[in-house]
Amino acid sequence: MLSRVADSLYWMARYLERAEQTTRLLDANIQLMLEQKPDAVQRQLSRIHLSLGAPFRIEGSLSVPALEHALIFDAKVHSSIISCVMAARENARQVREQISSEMWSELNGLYHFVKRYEAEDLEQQLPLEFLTEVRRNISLFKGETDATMSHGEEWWFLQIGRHIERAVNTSTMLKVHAAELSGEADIEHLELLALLRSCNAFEAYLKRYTAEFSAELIVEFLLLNPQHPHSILFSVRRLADSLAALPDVSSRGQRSRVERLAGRLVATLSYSSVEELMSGGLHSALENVIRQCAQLHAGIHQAYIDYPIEASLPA
Amino acid sequence: MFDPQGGVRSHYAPLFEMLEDSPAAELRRAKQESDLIFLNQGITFTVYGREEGTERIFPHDLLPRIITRREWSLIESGLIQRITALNLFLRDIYHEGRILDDGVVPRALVYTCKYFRRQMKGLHVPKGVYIAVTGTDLIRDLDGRFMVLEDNLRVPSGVSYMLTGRQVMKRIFPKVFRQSGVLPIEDYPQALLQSLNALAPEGRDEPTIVLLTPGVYNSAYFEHTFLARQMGIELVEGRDLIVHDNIVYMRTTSGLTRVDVIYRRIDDDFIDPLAFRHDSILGVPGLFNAYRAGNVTLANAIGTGIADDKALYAYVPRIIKYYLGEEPVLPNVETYILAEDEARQYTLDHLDKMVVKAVGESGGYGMLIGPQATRAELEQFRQLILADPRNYISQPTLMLSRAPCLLDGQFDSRHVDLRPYILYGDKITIVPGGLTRVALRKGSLVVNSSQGGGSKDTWVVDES
Repeated sequence: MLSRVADSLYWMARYLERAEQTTRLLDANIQLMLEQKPDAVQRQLSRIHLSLGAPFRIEGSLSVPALEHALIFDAKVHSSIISCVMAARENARQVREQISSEMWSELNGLYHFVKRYEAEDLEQQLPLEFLTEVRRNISLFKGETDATMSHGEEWWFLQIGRHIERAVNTSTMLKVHAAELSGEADIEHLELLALLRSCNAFEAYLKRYTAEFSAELIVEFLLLNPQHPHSILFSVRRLADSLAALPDVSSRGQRSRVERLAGRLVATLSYSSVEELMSGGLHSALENVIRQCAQLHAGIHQAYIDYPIEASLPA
Repeated sequence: MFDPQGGVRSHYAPLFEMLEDSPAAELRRAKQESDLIFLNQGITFTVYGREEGTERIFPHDLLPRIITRREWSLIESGLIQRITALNLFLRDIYHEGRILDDGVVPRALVYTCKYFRRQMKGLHVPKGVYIAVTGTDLIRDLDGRFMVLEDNLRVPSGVSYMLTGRQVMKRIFPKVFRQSGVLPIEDYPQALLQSLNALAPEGRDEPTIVLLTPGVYNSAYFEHTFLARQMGIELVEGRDLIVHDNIVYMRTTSGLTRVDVIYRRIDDDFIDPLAFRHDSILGVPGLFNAYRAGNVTLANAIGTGIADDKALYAYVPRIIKYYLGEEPVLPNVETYILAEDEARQYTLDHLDKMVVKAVGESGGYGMLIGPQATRAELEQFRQLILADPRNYISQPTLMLSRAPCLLDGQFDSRHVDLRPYILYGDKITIVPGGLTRVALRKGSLVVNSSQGGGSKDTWVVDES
């Protein structure tokens, strides 16, 4: 497969995962904030902002409509739904002949749906229906991807993009709540629920631990649960498996580096207990995961996309 | 469709019967169905000048244009003759230049043409084939004779519309198809691949072939993806290719892969910033050197545009005669070279009936259409011609033939041309038919897709 194609597929998957993350975050928090006091709402707004990597500058205090507007419509905000969907579609367009017609048609439909939604619609009512529809569309796209595309190298690059993005997203979510979860600050029950909902993990958590919410159990679930698709451990395992499925380019020495990085990250999480991770400081443990993901991203780029010519000339 | 007595030509009979039996509503539905297929398959071209490039479907007329096998044999032998001669001409002017020495074609005309590439001088191309793919535009005069309007020897496009148009027609008119005995064209991608294979550098027995596109913003991008998919070859952009030690590689996830043949859909000017336009970011630095070293084949070769130059066109009949010793099977549109005394005098005497074209221009610039010109314009051109006769050619005003079309549920006739695609590898192959382009606006002679042109399926049928 052409390196450029791999790169486009990787980013297409990352941007869609990011769009989904923004959508879920808004969805989980909009209803919550209806029931909160003004200062709690402020705190929550700034958490959402930080969870998305602080994608825009806040001048003065932030309001709910302003945040909604920025994260839905603003094409200059890099994690807004419109930016992510447009970027995903543009990447898909570059490799139109590599993805199935069904995938293209879902993604194209999502793009037109998002473009049609207007600021006036948002003034009329909460954007909940809109958010649900975006999520449904993304799920359809993922379903078509699995059902209509060969699970070859192209597909694996989509998996890599999706899971590296997800690992970073869940880590960032947890990091933003690190002080509260480590007992250094107070957190309301509702805010814990919003955290779980933002990671698609509310019902799964209940099944695992019942409706007893403790900071430690929530950290354990989102960080180390081996079965939940949004937990960090699950995501990095998927990432490592997908990397292992790529063609062998070990002659260049780069693959072994990528595999080593992925293996180390999986091992760190697989053989750690939540107590150990938290004893060294939850915040720094999460920072560490995020940093390792960034190294993996750079490693993948060097091994498959932008490698030096000399290292890879055929013998 | 009709003979001069008003009867239906026999090869149109099955189609005519079907039309007679179909109520207008049914035809309208068929038309909608065909438009929908085009849209859903993304068979579009890009219109420039709007934000992020607007994609439109290429208008497709439901009524096929029908050509008999006898007519086709003549077209085929004429095109084979013409392409053979033009290819010999290219080899000659980039090597010894005998035709220039013998004074058949003026040296100055060749050397001052902006499509002449001195970088090609003395370069041996595999099998001596310069033009692997040609799209030659044919028109029919009022007597029904086919003649050549223009050769497209650089990067002709439109073949994907020919192929997809046929697919759609088969789905919509299956019955007429069977009764008419239409010759198939579906093997075009395979024939193209074979030709490209045949042109691989020597010693590269299982060549890696790629299609080089300028990218998604090119108006013919759909066609590039379509052909790459149909041939099962990689669709690459300039940034996917690297030249190292005069060998071309493409960057893949499993390392660099050597590339042997490039079916390039980028113009000469943009193909290598080191050899041609240095501001091109679409091309591949160093590609031309690799080409000169014989390590990679470009199809078409660099510098083929000299042979489809407007002024040179007038010489094509003489070129055919010079290399093959034959009279042209397909005539040119009569063209006067105004540097020649007799032709100039004739043109000046009949200026109000002629079309005069400046040879260096294209797209309708620097042109006089005699019957539509004012007295002042005629006088202006008279002076221009007398001042620099070499810069002009003239042709009699043409009457393009017309074909019936289905427009808004009504039948009407529109001007058409025909572009068959000629492939040259080990031998010359032409799939029977081509792209019929239609000037959809009433009275218009312009068939270009960007200017309200559309297409029709072209059927070559056995009369028996």
